[in-house]
Amino acid sequence: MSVELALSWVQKLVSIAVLLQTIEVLLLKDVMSEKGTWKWSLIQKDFAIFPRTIARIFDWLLRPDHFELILWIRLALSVLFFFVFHPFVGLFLFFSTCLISWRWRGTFNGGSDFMTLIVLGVLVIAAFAVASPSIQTGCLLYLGLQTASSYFISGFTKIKHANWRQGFALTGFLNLAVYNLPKGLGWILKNRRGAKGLSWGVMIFECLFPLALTSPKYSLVFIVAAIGFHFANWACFGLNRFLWSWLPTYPALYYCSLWLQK
Amino acid sequence: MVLSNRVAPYRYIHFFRVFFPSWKFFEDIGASPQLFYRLKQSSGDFGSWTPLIHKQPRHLSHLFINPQILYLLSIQSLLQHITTAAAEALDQQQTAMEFSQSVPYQLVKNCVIESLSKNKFTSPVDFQFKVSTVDPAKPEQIIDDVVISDIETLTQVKVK
Repeated sequence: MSVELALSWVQKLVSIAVLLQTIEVLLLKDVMSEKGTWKWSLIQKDFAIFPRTIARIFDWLLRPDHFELILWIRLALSVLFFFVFHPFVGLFLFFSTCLISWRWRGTFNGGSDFMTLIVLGVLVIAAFAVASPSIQTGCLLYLGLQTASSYFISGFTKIKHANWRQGFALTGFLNLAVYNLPKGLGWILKNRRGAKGLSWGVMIFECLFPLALTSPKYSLVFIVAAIGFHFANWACFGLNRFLWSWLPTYPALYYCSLWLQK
Repeated sequence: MVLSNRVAPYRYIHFFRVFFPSWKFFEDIGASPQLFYRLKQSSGDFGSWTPLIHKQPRHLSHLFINPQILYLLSIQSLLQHITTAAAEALDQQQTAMEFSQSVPYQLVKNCVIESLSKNKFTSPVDFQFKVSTVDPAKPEQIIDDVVISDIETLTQVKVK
């Protein structure tokens, strides 16, 4: 796999992620309108901590009509980005992701916003450095390492807590989830051993994820497992965005495993 | 609203946290904030506290586009924020009136009003809401009340 091909896959997959994310925010337009719960005239108070000029710029960008226009432009540019690898298109998508996060008081959907920004940031740098294959390679390696560390850190922090090791944490999170458990998984809440086994399964998978970097074969195995993992996270917790935000990172992860074998 | 110097840096960090990724997902489970409401009955007494957010049905289409669940997840994050904000307000000896003007409080209040407005009330109704921490093992078991609102009136009612 060449640098260009890997970057092209990252670009196409992130454009799909941004497209879906933008449709979701547009569908919440009423919630963000002046008659909605998250109206700008209320959220605006948070921006009073900034100097007046910066607060005015935010007010201009985030007032409902302007913000909606930005979202429609974002929607159009996400489609364009699928076909055209241009740094300024990527820059707009990066900037609009920040704006959405600020409009929702920091982040809209936590980790998925973080990963979308990392992928877009990497692509913007790579698109500016078209003439420098070494910089583009560096961008892919950075993204691959971020991906591996995202799973590893998540697993390592869990394994430190007795609640996770005993299976209580997983049961608790499932109790508080927005969805009912998928059919056939109800036994987890009732069966202590099942909860403990599944918890260890999650922790071991996440902690071992850096092994994906050691060979292309392992990389593919972990990518397939990760897609299943994110699907399960959606089915239990409603975290659909994590699947779409992490998908663009897998070509970079695979490229890393090839590069490290050279 | 005047912010003390002590709070301002936290607020800046809060704004720019999107640039500092954290991969510590579902790190540990503890007392979790949940939102409850109660309505004044025709007898003049308040009914029992009821959870505002319920489990939602799952559809395969949600894998692609899932705005309503995202909105609920953002309310759950908001409940974490108001819990932190309430602790800060206590530290700073803010009055209840000052706290009720804060953005997190107003947002939670808006969410409750929006949810209650879906009911077909034909006359204004008094309500209260509260944010309480619950035991994740037994979500119906309240550990502590973090914020309890004053009596509010829902005036957005359906005309007969």
